[in-house]
Amino acid sequence: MVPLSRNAVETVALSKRYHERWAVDQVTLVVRQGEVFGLLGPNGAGKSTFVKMLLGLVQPTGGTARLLGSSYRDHRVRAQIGYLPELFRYQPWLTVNEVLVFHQRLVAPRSRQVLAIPEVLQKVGLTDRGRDRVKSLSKGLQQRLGLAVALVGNPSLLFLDEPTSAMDPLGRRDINHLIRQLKSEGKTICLNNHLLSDLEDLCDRVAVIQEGRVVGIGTLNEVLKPQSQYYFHTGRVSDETMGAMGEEGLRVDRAPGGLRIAAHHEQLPGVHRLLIRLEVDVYEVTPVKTSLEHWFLEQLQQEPEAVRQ
Amino acid sequence: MTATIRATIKEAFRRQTLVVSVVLVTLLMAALWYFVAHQQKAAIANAPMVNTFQSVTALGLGSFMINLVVAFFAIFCLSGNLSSEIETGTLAAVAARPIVRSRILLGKWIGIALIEIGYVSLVFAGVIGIILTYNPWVTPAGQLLAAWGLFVLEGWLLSAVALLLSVWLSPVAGGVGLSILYFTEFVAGAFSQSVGSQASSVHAATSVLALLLPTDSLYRRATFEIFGGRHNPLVAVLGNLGPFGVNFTPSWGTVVYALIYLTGILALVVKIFKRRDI
Repeated sequence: MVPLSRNAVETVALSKRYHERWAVDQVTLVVRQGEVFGLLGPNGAGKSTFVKMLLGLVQPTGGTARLLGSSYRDHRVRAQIGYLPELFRYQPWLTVNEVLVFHQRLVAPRSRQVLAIPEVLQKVGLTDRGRDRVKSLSKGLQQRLGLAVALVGNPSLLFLDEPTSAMDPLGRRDINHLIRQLKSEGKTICLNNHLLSDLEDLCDRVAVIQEGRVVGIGTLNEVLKPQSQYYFHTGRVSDETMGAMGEEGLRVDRAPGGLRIAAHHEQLPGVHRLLIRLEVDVYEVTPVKTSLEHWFLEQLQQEPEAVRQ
Repeated sequence: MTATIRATIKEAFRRQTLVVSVVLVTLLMAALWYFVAHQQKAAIANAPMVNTFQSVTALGLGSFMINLVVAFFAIFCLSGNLSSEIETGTLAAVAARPIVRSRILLGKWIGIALIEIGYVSLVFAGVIGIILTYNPWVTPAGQLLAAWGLFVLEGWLLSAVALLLSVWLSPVAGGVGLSILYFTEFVAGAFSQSVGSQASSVHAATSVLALLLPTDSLYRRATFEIFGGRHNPLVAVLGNLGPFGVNFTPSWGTVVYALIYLTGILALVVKIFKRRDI
């Protein structure tokens, strides 16, 4: 069992250069034990390369990393790691069971306790497909198999690269449920995902990578912090009333079904009184939160340091 | 490593590489049996020299046939294996496991090497069995065993080179490239055997080519051993088989070189693959 105080992933200036282009550029970050960590970024930002370096699949150009307290170069640490690649195809001539047995043999000698294959199949919803050949599975089912392979050996750290990209909404729901369950079991999960709503739902912390550099990182609470803005669900508001609110010094914009008004919490009663005076019907008031998508786009607008020494 | 060896053997069966190869080779052996038996029947009963020459020709062709089917099997089983598994992501999931890369590679090679032992045994026993049944001489078992071992070594060697090329090349490019290299060796060997001992420049050139891929030397030595070597008084006839003949018998030193070459190729592919991005 990994001690709780230990970081699951620590990287220091981890870098990868392909010819003249830096795919990953001096990435330094920490993933804490037991958290779900989301890695966001546009296509080609370096997310998958970053993960592949940690798993020894891609040789870094510079920097270093530790996984579960050991050097990432020590292949033995990978016995505690599960990996779902972004693009993969398991041996099509094998059955689902055979793929899992093959990976189980790679992970651990027979004597070591590992998660039973039926249990893994049940977790990913492939209970009845154990004898099917891989080539007969749909894309979504192959992705479930990929998750099952990642779970072989009962790893404490999981890298899941686009785990729901080929799935229908039901499949996505199942997998998100599984990720929550794995988190509740104390596993650390690093998620690469383009579906920001999923990340918003699952992650404790997120980081944005652009052009190989981390341009934003924070807990979900920090990222989705309430702004000093409130949404007022109102009745119809005339242009004259909008003008009058402006004259009173209120920063107000129209929003679907109401108004978005910039105000601090203590200013709310005054705003409310003004709206009543201007005969605006108010049905509901809710604070406006930043969505992960909003934060993500905001981070991408920040230019990474252009010149690398 | 046993997991990778098992998976490689299972792949050869499931992808029907082995089944198709065995079925086609069986058909080829049936055809060979028919022709050899027919040839013997047609031989003039009171012309022993004609009969003997036909036997030597059949033996030369049979040895070439073993050489060819073993080479094709060895070349195409592992051609592009690594590059295609990298491309499809199959290898990423495997290499992310707690296993050093050399074990993945050697597991694949050993899996194919074990299959080749069985495959060469089948082809060798079938072809040589048919030919020697009608031969007027008996080859000692030790020499047959040596010839069998040389063909096995040839298969192992070609598989190792195919694995090396598969680090960079696609299955088609790797297969075609190695086939051309293999045939170049054969043609060079055929020239070397055909020209007289005076043509030292030809011998020098073919010797250099033999260093590049010593398959032809193994094949010629194996043919010589099947024939019974110098113990067979008809050894001079073996040189009259044109491109399939053996005028200049490769020494055992060539075989030692092939073993060193094989070890070197495996060490090289391990070294290169260790740093290859997947």
